[in-house]
Amino acid sequence: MIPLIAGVFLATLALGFPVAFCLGLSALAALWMLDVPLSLIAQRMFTGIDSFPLMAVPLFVLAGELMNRGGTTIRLVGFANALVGRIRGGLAHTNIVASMFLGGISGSAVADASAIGTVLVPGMVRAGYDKAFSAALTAASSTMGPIIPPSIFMVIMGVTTGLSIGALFAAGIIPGLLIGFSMMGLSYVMALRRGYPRVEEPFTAAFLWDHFKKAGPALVAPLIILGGILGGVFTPTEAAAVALFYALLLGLFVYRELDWAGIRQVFVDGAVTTAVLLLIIAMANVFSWVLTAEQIPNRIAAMLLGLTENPYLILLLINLFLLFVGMFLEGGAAIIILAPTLLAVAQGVGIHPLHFGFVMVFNIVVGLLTPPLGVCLFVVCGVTGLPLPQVTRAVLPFLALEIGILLLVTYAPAIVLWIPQLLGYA
Amino acid sequence: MERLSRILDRASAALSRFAERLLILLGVAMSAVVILQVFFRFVVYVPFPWSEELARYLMIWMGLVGSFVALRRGRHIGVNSLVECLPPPLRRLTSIGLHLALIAFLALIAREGLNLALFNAAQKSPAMMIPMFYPYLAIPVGAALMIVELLAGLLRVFSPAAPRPGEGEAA
Repeated sequence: MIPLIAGVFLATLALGFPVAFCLGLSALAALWMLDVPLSLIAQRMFTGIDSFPLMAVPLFVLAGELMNRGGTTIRLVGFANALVGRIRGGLAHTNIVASMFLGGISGSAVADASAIGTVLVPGMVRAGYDKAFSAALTAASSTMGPIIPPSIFMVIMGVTTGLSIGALFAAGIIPGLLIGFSMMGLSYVMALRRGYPRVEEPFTAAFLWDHFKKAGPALVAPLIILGGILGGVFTPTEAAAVALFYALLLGLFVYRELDWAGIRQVFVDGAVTTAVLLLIIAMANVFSWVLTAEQIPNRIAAMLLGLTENPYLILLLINLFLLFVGMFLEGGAAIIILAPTLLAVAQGVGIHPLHFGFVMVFNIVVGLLTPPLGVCLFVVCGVTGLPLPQVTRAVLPFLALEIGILLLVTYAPAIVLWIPQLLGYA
Repeated sequence: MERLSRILDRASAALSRFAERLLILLGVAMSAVVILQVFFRFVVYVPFPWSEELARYLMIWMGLVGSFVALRRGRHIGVNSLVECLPPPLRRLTSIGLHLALIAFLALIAREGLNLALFNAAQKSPAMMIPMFYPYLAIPVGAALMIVELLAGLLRVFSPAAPRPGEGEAA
């Protein structure tokens, strides 16, 4: 059965089928062989997306789009530039810091990549930055979106495995900042070698204060979201709805860049973005039924544990496996299909479940940068018009950096668990 | 053939305009329900018994109707890099195969989804006590909408003169 499922999945994927349908069709092939009533498909699709915690996904997507269209992104970029524009390679650092801010508002790397890509990449190219570098940096920095809370992948991880979404959010804070600062270090070295410019105007406190005042109301959003969830005031779904409401007020009354036409556009675009994810989740739920019916998860688990019971080696094997899977499978689907099994294996050898859940999310996020299915690469290719291979080459240094940090968070659990433990989650 | 293609194109376009309005309605209603849930719990101290259920069903409809609009806009993510390397005749052949396979699969989903909705028509939802027919109906409706767009897309493959609207995104 494994060759059949894998064969149909990879063949349809290679032929350009949307990922959701690759999952659905390979599950269908297996259901035929198993002679199971096909009503199961509709049933599992429905139950896969019939979830209140999962609703944090559309609400965070909508909140992010409202913020973006309401004029938030421009102001965050302005503030980031006032903060770090004077470092060598200023716009690269601006890109990274703006992505960190956006990461605290939106939970989606794709949204961040397209927002920052549209606003910042043309300016970077005009200022003399290599176009492929600018595109690759945007894709790479956008991966902080789902690491720095909130995070769509963490919501899906929580819904699938029962891990606390709030605890996962808390776990992402330090690693997210770590990505940002190390990416700034790498960009600094690259900027020195390539002679990239910096902002030459002298730094004044008044200038910084001015930009801070403009960005301030937007910077309150992450505090509401995180504070509300970690303080136990809201569930993640409710926090997302409150963030959406705040974004609406901000766009209507503070920045005043939202009108009715803009709001309509946000709700259509947000629904489309959400639907793409929901269809994948629905189909992944059918797919995972097939795997379970065939006891494939148990066999994977037995195989892994047969190789070794050393937790360090298990973590290494799982990471390598997930990096490979991340090249072909969309992240949310990978979590739904694999997280329960792999989490059980990890817990079996004594790995902290929250630590493992976070490592898996991190790994899935790295998969956003690896072709052939590298969703963030697709976004920046769309924004810049560059071909995928060129951007892929330019993203390699950043990819190496992220894999390095992946190893770090894998083998230094304290980085991940410290804040959740402070908050009493773990 | 040309005429049929035009008719289907128009049908799909009209359905998509309607679907976009529906998505706005669903999204606004879903958000409002969750915001009100928070408001009522903290300010009025009266929780809604049915808000979560209503919001969930609205989200399911959003997912299925949104999938249709996403299909029209070419937004469902997939790997196109390999197909783009093929010579044009083979590419067309692949595209025809893809459309036919998806139409067949979605027809199956529409049938099974409709059966599911009819089978559960008498069952009432736990909180709102509405027939489960309505939430389940999202699946056949979404699948049927996608089939219309795929049929239009299939005929477009045969008349390559007409570029499809809303396509061209990389993802």
